[in-house]
Parts: sequence; C-alpha cells; structure tokens
Amino acid sequence: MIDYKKIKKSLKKALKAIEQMEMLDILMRAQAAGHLPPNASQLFAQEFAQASQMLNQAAHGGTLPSSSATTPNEHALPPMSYQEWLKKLADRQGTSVPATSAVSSLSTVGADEALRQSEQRLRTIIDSTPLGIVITNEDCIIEYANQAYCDIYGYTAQEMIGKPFTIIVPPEKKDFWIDLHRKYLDGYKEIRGEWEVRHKSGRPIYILADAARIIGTDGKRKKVTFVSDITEMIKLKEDARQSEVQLLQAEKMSSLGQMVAGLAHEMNTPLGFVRNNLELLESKHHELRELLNAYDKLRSQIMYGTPNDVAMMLAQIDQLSQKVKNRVYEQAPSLYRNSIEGIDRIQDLILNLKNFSRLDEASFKPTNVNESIESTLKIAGHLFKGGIQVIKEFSPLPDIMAYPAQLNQVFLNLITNAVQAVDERNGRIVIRTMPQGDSVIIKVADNGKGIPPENLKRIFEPFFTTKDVGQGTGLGLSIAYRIIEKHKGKIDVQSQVGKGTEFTIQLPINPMQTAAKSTSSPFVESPFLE
Amino acid sequence: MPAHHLLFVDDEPMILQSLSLLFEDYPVHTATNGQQGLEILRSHPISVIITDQRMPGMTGIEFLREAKDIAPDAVRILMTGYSDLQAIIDSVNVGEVFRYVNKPWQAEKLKETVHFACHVAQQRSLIRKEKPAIPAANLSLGISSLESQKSEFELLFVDSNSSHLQSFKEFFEPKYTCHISSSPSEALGILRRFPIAVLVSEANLGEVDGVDFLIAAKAVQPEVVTILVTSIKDSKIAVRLINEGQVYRYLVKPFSRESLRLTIESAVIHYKFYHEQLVRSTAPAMKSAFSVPQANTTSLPEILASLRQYFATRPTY
Repeated sequence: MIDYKKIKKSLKKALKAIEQMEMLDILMRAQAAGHLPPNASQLFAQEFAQASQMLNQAAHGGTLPSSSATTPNEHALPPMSYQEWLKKLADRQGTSVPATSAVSSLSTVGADEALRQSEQRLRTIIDSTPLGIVITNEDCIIEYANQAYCDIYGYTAQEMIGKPFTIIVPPEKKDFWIDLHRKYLDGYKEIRGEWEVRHKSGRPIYILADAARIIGTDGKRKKVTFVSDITEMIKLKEDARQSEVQLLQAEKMSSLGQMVAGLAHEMNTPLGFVRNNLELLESKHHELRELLNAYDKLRSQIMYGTPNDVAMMLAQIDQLSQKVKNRVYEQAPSLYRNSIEGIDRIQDLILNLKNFSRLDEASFKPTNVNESIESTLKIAGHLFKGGIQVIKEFSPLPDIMAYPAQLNQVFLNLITNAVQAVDERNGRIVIRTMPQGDSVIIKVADNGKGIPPENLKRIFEPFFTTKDVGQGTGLGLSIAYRIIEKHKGKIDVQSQVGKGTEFTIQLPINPMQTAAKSTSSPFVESPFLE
Repeated sequence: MPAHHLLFVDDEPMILQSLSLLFEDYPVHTATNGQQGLEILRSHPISVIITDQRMPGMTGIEFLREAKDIAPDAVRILMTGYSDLQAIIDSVNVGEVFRYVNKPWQAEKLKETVHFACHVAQQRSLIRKEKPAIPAANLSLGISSLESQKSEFELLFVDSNSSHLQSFKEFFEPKYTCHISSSPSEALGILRRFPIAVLVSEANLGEVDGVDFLIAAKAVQPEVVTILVTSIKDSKIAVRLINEGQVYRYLVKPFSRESLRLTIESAVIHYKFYHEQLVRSTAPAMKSAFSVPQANTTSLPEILASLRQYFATRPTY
C-alpha cells in the first residue's frame, strides 16, 4: 500500500527543491550575465546541491513502485558539488576561477556551457522523478511537463506543451479548474489534495497534487504542480469500503436472521398449542351439543312420554355423558387457560419486537436506558433458557439523548456475547446501570470463560472473532463501538480468563451539548426572550 | 395391531399437554428435554417420536441422532416452530427424519401422519425380526471386503452435465453397475427396467426439476434410495424432499469424492437392509403409501401431475 503521508512529505520536499532550483536558475542567469559578485556563487552552489538532493529524496520517498527505476540515475548523476562545478567551469574556460574577467564577459563560452550543463542536469533529475511536474502559466497554458506527468495522463510532451491544462480535467469541471487556477495564482486557493482528472483515453484517474507559485524568467506568475497517480490506491480503498458495506449488511442480516428465527420459534410454539387446544375443544363440542339435545328430549319425555321412553332416554344420556367425560373435557379449563396465555405470549412478543425495533418512533430522542435494556432483554429472552441467571441492578437514570434503536442493538450484542460466554448451567449475567455526573454508566458483566489479554486488545476490531465459522462475522462489537462513539460515549472491557468479562459503557446525557455551546444560538441573546 | 407408544419431546409443557390430549388413544410419553427423551427410549418400546428442534441443552437433531441408535425402528418426526436452513438439511442427513412438520400443526393431519408412522414403524420392526440386526462393526467390515469384488447393486446418476456423469461413472463403475442419464424421462425408463438401489440426481435438470424427479422416482419405485445433489441450500426443497420424497441424503456441493463414496455405501446398506427385505416379505404394505399410477407406460409428466394432486389432498403431512 502507498503511504499518503510519505507522498505528501515527498511532494513538499519536491516543492521546496523546485523553488530552490528556480531561484538557482535565476541566480545563475544573473551571474552568467555578470549581475552578481563572484562570491555569491558559493551560496547558490550549496543550495543547488541541497536542492537536487532533496528532489532525489522526494522522488524515492514517494514509495511509488516505479521509483526504484530511478535509482540507477541517482548513482549515475550524483548531486554536483560546488568544487566540481567550478572545476568544470574552469576546464571549459581554461582559466582559474573565479575570474572576474570571465564573469564580466557577457557571452563567455564557458559560462554558457556551464549553464547548459546545469540545465541538462536539472532536466535529467526532473524527467527521471516519478512525480509528475507541470508548469502552467497565467493563461492556463502548459509550458512544461515532465515525462512522469505525460505518462500519468497518457499524452506525449508535444501533445501537452502549449495546450491549455484543461485537457486533463473533466469537461464539466473546466470552468471550476480555470477559476481555481486563477485563484491559486492570486494566492487565495490551494491545489493540495486528491482530484479526479481525465486520462487521454477519457477514463477518470485520481491524483494527489500540490503546487507552488513561482515567477518565471519572463517575470510572470506560474504554477508548478506536482502530481502522483493514486488511481490504484483509490480503487483499492473503494473496494475495501464496498466490501465493508457488504459485510456490515451481512452482519445486520445475520443478527436479524437469528432474531427472526428465535422469534418465529417463540411465536409458533404458543400458536401450536393454542391451535391444537381449539381444535380439540371444537371436536368435542358436538358431543356436548348432543348431550344437551338429549337432555331436552328427556324433559319432553318426562312431561309427555311413557316411563319406558324416559328409561331409554336416560340410558342414552348415560352413554353420551360417558363420552363427554373424557380427558379433553376434564382438562378443558386448563386448555382454555393455556390458550389465553399462549395468545398473551404472542401479543407480548409482538409488543416487545415493536419496542425493540422502535420503528414507529423518532430516531434521535430522549431515551431511558433502563427501559431500553428491559426491552432488549425481553427480545433476547429465548437465549436464557437453560440455567442462565440474569440479574438487573438498575439505578434510576435521567433520560439521555440517543438513537434508542441503535443502543438496543449494542445491548443485544453485549447480552448475546455474555450468554455465549457463560456456562448454560450456572451462567450469571449482571447488568448494572447508574448515573455519573453528566453521563450514565451501563455495565454488563458475566461469569463466563473470559477473554485472554491478547484477544482483549483486538476485541473491537472489525472481523475479529474467536467464534466458529458461521457463528459470527466478528463485526458485532466493532459496530457496538461505532454506535457508542457516535453517541460521544465510551465503551470499555475488562476480562479475566476463567472468571468473566465486564463491558462498561459510558453515555453522555446530552451528546450534542458541547456542539450546542460552541454554536450559540442567535435567539439566546434575543430581546424576545426577556 | 399392538398399541403403539408415542414419545413427545418439547421444552414447552403446554405443547406436551396439548399433544397428549390429541393422542389420548395412544400410550403417550413426554419429555421436556432430549436427555429425558433418551431415557424413555431406553425403557419403553417407542414407535413414533415427535420432537421440537430448538431446545436448551440438546437440539432436536442431536436427540434424534442418538435416538437412532437406541431405537432404530422408531419413526422420527421433527415438529418445530422454526429452524434454520442447516438444521432442516441436518434433519435429513443426520436425523433421517420421516416427516418435517411446522408448528402450528393441524390436528387431523398430524393424527393421520402419526397413524401412518406407526404403520411404518411396525414394518421396520418386522423386517428387523426377520433379518437380525447387522451390527455397526460388521457394516464397515462388509464395505472393506466388498472393495475388491464388484457389488451386485446398481446405481443411477442423473445430471444435465454429461462430464459430471462421466466422472461419476468412472469413479463408481469399478464397484457398481452404473447407469447414467441426462434426461429425467430416460432415467425413469432405466429405473423401471433395472433394479436400481441408489438414485443420485442433481437438482437442476433443465427439462424437469430434479426435486420433482426424485419424488416421482420414489413413487414409481419405493425401494430405491434417493440422494439429491445440489449447490443450493433451500429449506423448501429439503422439506418437500423429506415429506414427499423420503429422500435419503441432501448433498450440498462441493463435496469430496470420499464423502460421496461413503454416502453411496451407506445408501446401499440402507437399501439392502430395508427395501430388499421389504420386496420379499411385506412390500405391498409399504407400496400402499403411494396411491400413484404404477403402470409402466405412464410418462413422467403424467406421474408428476398425479403426484401433485395426490400431495395436495393427502391426509398426512
């Protein structure tokens, strides 16, 4: 991966180097023209060495893969020392240096040669750096572009130089860029940053750019821009973001799936016996009806019939009532009671689900954390079926401003983790809440297997999981962390292997308070309030 | 018919009470967890087991896996309010359940199902009496001794991918007589002409759905042991294959050659143990379960149509 900071640093160094070289260029021309005293050359020769070294460093510090290709050049062309430079100059001139006579001569062959050489050197350095370097003038025309710059955009130097720089920006952004260019030269806008530009082929590419303002030899303002191609990096980042989004969705779906599974089972169980009870009672109903009909008949037989008819009727009634006195009728009261309880249970579940999801409420609102935990516990109830004991030690809490649905998700996650950590037979989960200054504190402790120190450090990292494949995505706690962070709270964990784990959450009562203070409302001081 | 004992396992006592009343004509045993259920199985002659899946401690499938060893002839029914996909597939492959029933259930349909299950249990125990149990140790011995010689059993592979068919054939041909077909209709013909022990079909067959085909094959040839091979885990398919097709295994791709080989071996043993005997002794009773046209000339689409009608109206699950 490419290190942004390093690139930025390199760009800054390169920028400085170019500025120095530009200075040097001016000085050398001045000296060549005899406008400077000879001892001045000592100063700028030092600067020259420093600048060229800097540019080399910048080129290699960029860590771009292609930077290694320039390494041989570095050895081939070491920064020229002042002595070397003077020596070369002397060789050409055939005189001892510095010689005032040589300097005073306007068109000395030796000075011209030195200038040509130094320019050559500068060009070699600039053309071998992987940083794209471009000089644009006040009229938005590209005056110079180095090889790396041309390579980034896919043009040849001939195709670029003399053209408006807008050939490399998205057509719809042309005006923006021209404006930015002018404002930059005027000194009140910066170029530094990531930009989307256009390759010759038209495909978008991404660059990291910085720039420097210089005055050219023509006395006009120019912009030197340093550019790194970060398209690959941006793509990688985007891919990573995409897969993170997908995984977050997967985690959401997997916890939703588990929830739905649990709830469906919880609801279908009472539905099962309620339905069966009703069917049983229904199937026996006609027997009761028959018996009642027989009683009716008996009454009329007693009134109008013969004793023989009555006796027959009584025998029939005996038979029918035998049938009715079956186990279903014996247990009918409990079947009715169970059925009503079953329906209540389903109703409760639906209510809890509604409370938990808070779909019908405002998303950010005064929230009672104790109530939130209660509703989460109800929804997670099916987890505690074994011998797991849940102890609630709630203190009265002030309402906090929060996203209750998100807090519920955090609580559900902590409770689920606790249930998974403890022994089903003697597990104990203690949930404590307490106010503390401007915050509320929530502690979820278990007597489970604990987390070893090496895992404890990584517990809030995305994708960190110790569960079996398919058991968890390793995102639950990282999501919890992010939710708490969003509430400007803190989540912390302490654990001892074999003893248990305790999560502590601190949530500010009003997470927006700090923000509210700094942006004091205009109405507070308004006379209307008084 | 001797009284058939039923065992209900569910962590909800109200379910147990309700079921006990529905089956008041039977000797009923109830347990609120798997361990308790296993105790009852060890001490009573249970014909039919109905268990919940999600229970604390031991899941329904874990319970059934152990129940299979204690009471192999007891017919196993999973009745649950919800179970995840893997649990449903496991109920085929691990629990070898006879039926998968959703809660809430329909009283009459459940009664009919249990009645039928009692019948099946009785047949199973008849077969076992006739042919004393093959101890598990002998089974594995049997496999290795069979390794060298060609098995008398014939296999049928159905897949739309002919190169897959070829590799199945190459892999199993040394040991078994292998038939392959890429057309379900053709495969049906093979099934009618040859004594196929194990039928392996891919779910995606193009012309006819592989699941439909397996169900039809089982209706035409109840003795055949069927295996579905698929890349899709689907609860609906699995439930249909259990309840309508009595599928033996639901294999999810990709799997190793070895696991397919082991599956085929155990399918052959299963076939040998139950159905071969069944054909000789009490076959008609088993066949009566499917009131499907048996005529050899009936085409696959006709069979499928009559099966659809049959399953839509049959009184059992």
